Amino acid sequence: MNSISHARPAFLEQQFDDPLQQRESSVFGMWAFLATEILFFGVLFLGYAICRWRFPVAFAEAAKHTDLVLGSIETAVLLVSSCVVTIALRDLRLGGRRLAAALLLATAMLGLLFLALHGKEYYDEFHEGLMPGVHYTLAQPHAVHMKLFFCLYYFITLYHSLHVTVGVLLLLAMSWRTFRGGFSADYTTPVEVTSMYWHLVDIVWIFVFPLMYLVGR
Amino acid sequence: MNGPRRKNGRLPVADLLAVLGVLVLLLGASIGSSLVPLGGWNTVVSLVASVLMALTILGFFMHLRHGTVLLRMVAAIGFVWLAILIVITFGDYFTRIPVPPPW
Repeated sequence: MNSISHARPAFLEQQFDDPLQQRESSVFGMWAFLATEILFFGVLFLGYAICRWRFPVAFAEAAKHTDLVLGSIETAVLLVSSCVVTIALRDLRLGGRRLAAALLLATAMLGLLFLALHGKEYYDEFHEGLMPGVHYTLAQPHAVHMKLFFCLYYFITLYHSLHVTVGVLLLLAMSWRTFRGGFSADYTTPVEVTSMYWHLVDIVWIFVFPLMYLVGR
Repeated sequence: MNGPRRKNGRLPVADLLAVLGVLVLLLGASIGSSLVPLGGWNTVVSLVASVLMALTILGFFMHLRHGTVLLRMVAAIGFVWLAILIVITFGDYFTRIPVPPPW
């Protein structure tokens, strides 16, 4: 027993037989978690679909008030960030450290840029009076049903921004641990599951964008 | 950094950048199509672009292309349950006969 435990790498948790089993279990568990995230956002998308099906004109009118330019830039920023984190993981798997840490940090910065751009949108929307319950000044014929769109818009985008915030914190932690030599070519699992989470955040936004920004243009 | 092409998700950086290029093109197509009056097809076109983008990310960035069958099944299960949820919910909405209250 002692001879086996001496041969175990330091990163290998005691419940696993070898690093491969530990990695596969972690990735499997992360996919199970991501499935719950898909259903979490899926219910919100379903609510959107039902409301839009019932009030198509109001939703088309309301969506015109979202900022298409900022929304497009935010989408592009998240797509680039997904590519950057993939390159970071690749570099780490090939034995890199400093470049991988820098790329993870760059991904976190892109996440912060996304949050800043979205914050600018919220600021503009507040001043335009598009926030039901806070500051809502629309008075056109469909204004009541347009509230439904904006409620769903803030629910979905705020939850998404919360996920981006968590992702940024995780990426910063992974960048720091990578820089300090916490990972190697044989042990990249925490970075891998963090990147999976980040990709899912990107995928959710890929569906938010056409439903909230491209309708009624 | 450009090592040999490997099956375990270590695509060359040039390939990853090409995947990013495809994603940006799909985003451009989605935005462009929304500016063309296609009626109800605008949403269909942009959602098809979104599905293609999601599949690209799942396959290339999340390495599901080279994942085991079990892993692909686990990855698909969330989407499958979501599809069931949507189909059954809209099945109810499309087939429900409004019953006026008796008063």
